[in-house]
Amino acid sequence: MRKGYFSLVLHAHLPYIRHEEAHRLEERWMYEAISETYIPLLWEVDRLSRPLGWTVSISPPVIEMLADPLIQERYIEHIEDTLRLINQELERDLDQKERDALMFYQDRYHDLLNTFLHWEKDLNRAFRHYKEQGYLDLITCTATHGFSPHMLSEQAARSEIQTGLNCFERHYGFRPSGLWMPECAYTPGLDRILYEEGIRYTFVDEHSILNADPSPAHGIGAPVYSPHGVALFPRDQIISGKIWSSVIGYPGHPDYREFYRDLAYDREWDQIAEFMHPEGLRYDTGLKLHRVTGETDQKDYYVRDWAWQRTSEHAADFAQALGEHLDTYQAQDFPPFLVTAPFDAELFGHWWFEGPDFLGKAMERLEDQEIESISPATFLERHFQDIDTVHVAMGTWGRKGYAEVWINERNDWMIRHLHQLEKRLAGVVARNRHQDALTVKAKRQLIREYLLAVSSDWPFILDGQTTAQYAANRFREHVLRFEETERRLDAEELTMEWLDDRYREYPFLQDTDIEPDVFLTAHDYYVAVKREKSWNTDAILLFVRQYDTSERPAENLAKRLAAAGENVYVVTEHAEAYRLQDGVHVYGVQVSGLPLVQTYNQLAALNLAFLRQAQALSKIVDFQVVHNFNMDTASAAQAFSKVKNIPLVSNVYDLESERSPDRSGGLVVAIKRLEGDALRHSSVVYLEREESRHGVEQEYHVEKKPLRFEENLEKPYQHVTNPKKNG
Amino acid sequence: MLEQIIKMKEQGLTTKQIAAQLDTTEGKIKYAWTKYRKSLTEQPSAEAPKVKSKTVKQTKKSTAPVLDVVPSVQVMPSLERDAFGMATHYEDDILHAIVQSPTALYVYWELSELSKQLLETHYHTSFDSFRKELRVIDVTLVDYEQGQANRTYQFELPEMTNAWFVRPVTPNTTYIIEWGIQTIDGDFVPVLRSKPVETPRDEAVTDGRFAEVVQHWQYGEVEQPEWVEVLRPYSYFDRVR
Repeated sequence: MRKGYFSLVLHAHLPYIRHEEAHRLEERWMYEAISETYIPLLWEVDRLSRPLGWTVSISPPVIEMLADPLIQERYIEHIEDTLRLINQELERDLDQKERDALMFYQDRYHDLLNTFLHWEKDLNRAFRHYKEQGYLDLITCTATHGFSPHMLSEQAARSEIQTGLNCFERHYGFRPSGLWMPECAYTPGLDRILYEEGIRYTFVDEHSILNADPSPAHGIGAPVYSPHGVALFPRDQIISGKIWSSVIGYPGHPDYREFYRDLAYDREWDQIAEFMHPEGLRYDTGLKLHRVTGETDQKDYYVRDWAWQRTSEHAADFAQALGEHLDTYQAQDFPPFLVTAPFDAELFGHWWFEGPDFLGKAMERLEDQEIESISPATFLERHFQDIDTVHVAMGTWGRKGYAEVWINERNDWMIRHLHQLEKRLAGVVARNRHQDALTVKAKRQLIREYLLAVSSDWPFILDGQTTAQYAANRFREHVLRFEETERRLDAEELTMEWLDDRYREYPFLQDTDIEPDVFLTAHDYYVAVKREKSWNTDAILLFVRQYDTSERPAENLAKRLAAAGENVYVVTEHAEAYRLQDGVHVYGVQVSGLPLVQTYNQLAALNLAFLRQAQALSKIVDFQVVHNFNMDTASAAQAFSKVKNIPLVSNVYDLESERSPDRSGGLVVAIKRLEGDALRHSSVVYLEREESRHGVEQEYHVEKKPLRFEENLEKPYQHVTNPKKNG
Repeated sequence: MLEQIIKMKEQGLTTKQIAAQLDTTEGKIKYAWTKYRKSLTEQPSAEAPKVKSKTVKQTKKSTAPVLDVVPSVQVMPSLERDAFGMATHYEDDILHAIVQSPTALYVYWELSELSKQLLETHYHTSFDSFRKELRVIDVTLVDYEQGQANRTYQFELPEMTNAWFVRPVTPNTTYIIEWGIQTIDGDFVPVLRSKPVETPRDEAVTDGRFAEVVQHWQYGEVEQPEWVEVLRPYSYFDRVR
């Protein structure tokens, strides 16, 4: 045996394009993938009938569509239609070469049909069979191929990973230790989720490893461990490029089939109308009768024997080049040099028609060259001790190596909607902790819609601008379906029947695949179970800059109210984020970041911090009144009162007019204006000291008569009136 | 053991912490917890009566504490819609920065009515009249919460924008982005702030800053990794406990 290894990884993925109604154009993507890639690959596996060291990743949408009886039946119809078309064509007066090409397709489509029926229409069975025979290794991908680095939350990334694995396990009976991350996208932190979900290896592009910190000793000649302990296998671009480069790659050879010349566009409409879309659209028949023929528009007819012969030559060439490549690195030990070659499976067969033939033959030539083909899983079993641990930065195998395909001016509008769905899901699962069957089902449906929306195929298609309308529509459709489901859940308008109907429209994933609380964090769980229900209604929001100081008796008031059974929430300036003190919820906020120069702006920053805390609280607490205990927080209290339409109560200790009686200037004017506004908008104004009365009444033109705080201490909100809307 | 696990979970302890306290493995804790969670899911509906999730005004001072569910007050707000039925704006305060490339970040933001109202109240002027800016802050290996920053720059945003591709930025750098207003006295007042985001490296490492921190982490010397993890736990109740 030669020293070193070769590892081929094929990733089969299509977006979930199954539709209940017939004649959706996109469904043909699936038929093409089955006819051109999946079955031809299986033919090669079957022909060789021995352990190949191949790893095939089948994405959950592909798995689900392969298992779908509707798709299965329609695929058979599709094959039968194509065979009828071939027969009809063969009856015409044809050039001999054209006839030969058609005859080739006739045989081929019969073979496809036979193979499909042999596996009782479910190709998952075929893949599973060959896996069980030990001929190949199977892994899967995340649920809908979402682009993980752009997800807002860990929970979203986890839902994709966990759900994908559950789906795979249901169909294949085991949980793989490797996972194909969509677009070979990696970002720090993703590895922790992968590890926790039982995943031990995934794939990245070569620059991710070459730029790792510290630089790994073996470059791309070996995988590395990420900080959280997941092995990352790098794509070897030299070897991958040998196969697939647009300049030096094999598929461009003149003998191979021309992808872009389809019979559908060579015929008059009347001749093929019967086989086209009922609405008069022309689409590929899959019968491509020409070959590449070099750099010319004049395409010659496809000659199957030549193409077949050519794959033999290319397979031998590839094996030899690979052998030489491994020899160059034969000095590498611990571990020996590994070439990892991950590809989209559909490149072989769909894009490069002869690709599966090439792969099969290449495996035989590797044997001649004594090159060991090995799966990443086996490699890890042998060499897990010989791998460096490094920090790998965000990276993908997409254009320019990062995220330009999935976030750019054509598709960036999507991301905020996806993040909103994530936030909503976190909210839905936290506030629907009860586990009745209907709610659980609803949560699963919400997650399903999120997963279908987050598929990286939609921004990918928008980036490429082909079938962009479909991608945008599908994306919007799932967002709107999510919102409708959520609305009905909140309004208690859901029924099992409605949810079942929804499911039938996109029967992707079974309920058992989806953990309904995958979006729940330990923290949310804590929030949801540890609080009394009564705590969140008719609460009092107290803004006070300094809470527990003796001259500002906010603490006394809050305690007294809490003891009387009120729900009191205090927002104050404090280092401690939260404490429950004498029955009062005290939330501390602080201004962080770069310091501000001007006092008035510092005050703005403080008020923003107060407001944010109140805003977060208002998601779970229903406030009946906001009580502003000192003028420092006047703008936050006022804004909150106004937008939430709840009464404002203000306490006056001293005012700017008292603090700086002799000063004038911008700051004094501004503060006085702010104080005056707040007081005038207050439903009740309390005076702590009688001395303030004059200032409030005269200088601030407050029409309401200020009350004495001490006198009303027991029932401070008895004089509160509800403000008029926009009042 | 399960009872203890539930209790500690409720206290917000991580699996790792619980395992340490109970002197067992994380795997066992996880298994018990998952099993418990599953058992909750499988309960027939009769045993778990549905709790109203809507905003229901409850009788004040209801005595029996129900340690079950805190219904959120806020459900989906009604939002303005575009021609496709999509919300044009979510009533939310968020600024999020994501990596497009080693030299470009994508930033989007939303400002709630509350925040707008506060700014108008505080500065006594209409929201439209503010000069809006984006501030880009290099916080690599420093603590921005404490006011530290390596360098910053800021630029004015056109009106009616809610997203920006920030280019160029430097690879291998940690950034925080702020959306804010420029006041007449020249201060930049930040209104929205992103979480830290890390631009990827685009060349082989010469003077790496991660070798040591990865080692600290690998040998269990630190509780949390000392690098930014882009996907970090997020809670809907972010700051509410």
